Amino acid sequence: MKKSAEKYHSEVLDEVFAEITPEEQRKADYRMQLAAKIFDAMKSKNISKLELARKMGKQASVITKWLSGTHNFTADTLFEIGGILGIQLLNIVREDMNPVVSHYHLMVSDSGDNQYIAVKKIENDGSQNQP
Amino acid sequence: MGFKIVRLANFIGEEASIYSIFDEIDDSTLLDRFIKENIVAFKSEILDIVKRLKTINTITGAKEYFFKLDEGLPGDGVCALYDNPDSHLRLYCIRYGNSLVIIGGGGEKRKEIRTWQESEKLAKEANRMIGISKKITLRIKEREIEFEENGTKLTGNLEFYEDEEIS
Repeated sequence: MKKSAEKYHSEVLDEVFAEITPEEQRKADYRMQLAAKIFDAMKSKNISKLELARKMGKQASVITKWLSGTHNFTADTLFEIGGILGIQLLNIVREDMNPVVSHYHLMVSDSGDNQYIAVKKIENDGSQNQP
Repeated sequence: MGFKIVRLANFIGEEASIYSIFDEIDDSTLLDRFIKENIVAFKSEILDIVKRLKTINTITGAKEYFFKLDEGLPGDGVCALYDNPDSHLRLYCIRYGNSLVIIGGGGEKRKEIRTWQESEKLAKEANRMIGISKKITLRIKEREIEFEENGTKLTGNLEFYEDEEIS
């Protein structure tokens, strides 16, 4: 079996990591994933960097920057790219609120002159409350 | 004395492995030296570079469009992590597909400089990576170095002498 590379733990890198907040890292992750999503769509639609640049009225170097994972896109730019590539880069669909579901148990009693209707609310945990 | 290829244990993701060059004279990796040389003057750029390396390591892999390709000789894999025209730093790497990247050194790219050949520091760092890539390629050809685990792992003889001949 061949020897694996030695593992090296860098204290210098540890110090840099300590300065990066989770939110900052998530922003970097998001920008690079966005670039990857754009590239994947270009590939699947067979659209080259030059072609996307022409359609967007930009220089090819601008597309290179977009794909580098360092660009902070505006909503308008993402909307335009999404339109050309046929992908959704901005998700503006409202997330559904958790629906409130209530169950009632309706009982109708008819014993001569004493007719009544009783309604019992059945809670989600299965217990029953008197209305 | 020479150098060895080491796997950076700080990067624990699995999308792409991050390696660097451990220089036995400096007793440091080229990435550590790059950070130490530039953290005071260009702290935000260093943080940005490290964040991107972490994303490459954990989420995206080393996609070619995250790099400036062809910074070395044709086909040698020497590239630089993408740098914006208005940024100050350039960091050289050797990229082996999406799964493995060896981080080298780099330095300041001053505005008046268009290519690395015009900067003594960048020329030194780029040429060093070109030389390292040649040595690795030779060992790959001689099957002294191999890629394993879907190209995410380098194995074999990963220690080099600086004056080692490249045929």
